[in-house]
Amino acid sequence: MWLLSVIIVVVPIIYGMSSCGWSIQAFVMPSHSPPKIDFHVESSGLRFEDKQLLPVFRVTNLGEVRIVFESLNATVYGPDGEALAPAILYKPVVSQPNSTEALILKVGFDEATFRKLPSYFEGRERVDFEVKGVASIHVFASKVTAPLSISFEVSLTDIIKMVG
Amino acid sequence: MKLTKTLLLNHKVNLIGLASSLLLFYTALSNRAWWVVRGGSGGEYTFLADVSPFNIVLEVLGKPVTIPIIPYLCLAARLSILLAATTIFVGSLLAGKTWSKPMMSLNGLVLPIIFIFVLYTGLSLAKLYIGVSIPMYGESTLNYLVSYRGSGVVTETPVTASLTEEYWIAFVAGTLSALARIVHSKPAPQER
Repeated sequence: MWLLSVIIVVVPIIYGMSSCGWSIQAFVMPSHSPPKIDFHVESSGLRFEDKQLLPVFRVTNLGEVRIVFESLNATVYGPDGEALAPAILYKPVVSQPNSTEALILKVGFDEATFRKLPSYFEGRERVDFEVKGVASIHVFASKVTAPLSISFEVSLTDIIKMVG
Repeated sequence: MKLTKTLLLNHKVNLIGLASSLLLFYTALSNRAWWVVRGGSGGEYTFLADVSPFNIVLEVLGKPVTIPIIPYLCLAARLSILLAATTIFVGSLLAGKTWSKPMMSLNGLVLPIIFIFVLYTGLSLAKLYIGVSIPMYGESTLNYLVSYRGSGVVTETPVTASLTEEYWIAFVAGTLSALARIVHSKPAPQER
């Protein structure tokens, strides 16, 4: 009886190995094609609200899964590398595959930093500011914490509008 | 002795054996999972696994994970339990024959025990080599570091795992088969 049990266990495995060309590696190697997860962020303008700068970005979902940008914990840096103000996500953004959504940040400048901004424009019409921090993103049912580094351009006209 | 006589229907039929063989037939022919794990909640899962010795379903990020050896291992396990169920069934109907004793197989009990052992080993190896910590039972949070565009990205996934009713039915079937074998071994009283 035990011999029959052994045969019944061994025969399917031998048959399976033969169908894999007797390659143990091919027989036991897992295969998985994960969905593409990728997105692209680029600056698309500025908005102003209550002396707050709202840089607007365009986020394009180049992947196959839905991505939810839930929050952002970042700092805005000036052209001289000095930390100027904190930046947070204005509101969560749901990005479906093959779609483009607006991602808006909220940058809270204090009075001192506000007064310093025009100094960056000496001899220049436009200046790049960099946002560096950590984004909290939802992909499938997982919370993903990823570093984020994006930049946006501000013109002297924008500063004048903000000062108002 | 009186109990044995009752359970063996006066040493003609092994009732416990019949019951265990029917449960083993059900177990072997069922595709339901013995152990389930879900990474995520609310109907959306980062990963999921429905595992039994007869059928294994693995999905990560909504796409299946295939391992060529798995269907053949599942077939071997299913045939093994079907053979055990058949021999126990036939042996139970012929309880009065001395040569029916070897037919009372213990494979039905061995499989659930091996299943737990293999599961525990597999999860331990996953923790050791892939850094993925998944509980065998209960809830936990899986923290995993992946590389994305040269940066480290931390993922946090709620995980729940549990043994299902199907496992316990298989375990009961196996236990009954062991009891049937013990009862089957009791000799019939000498006729006066």
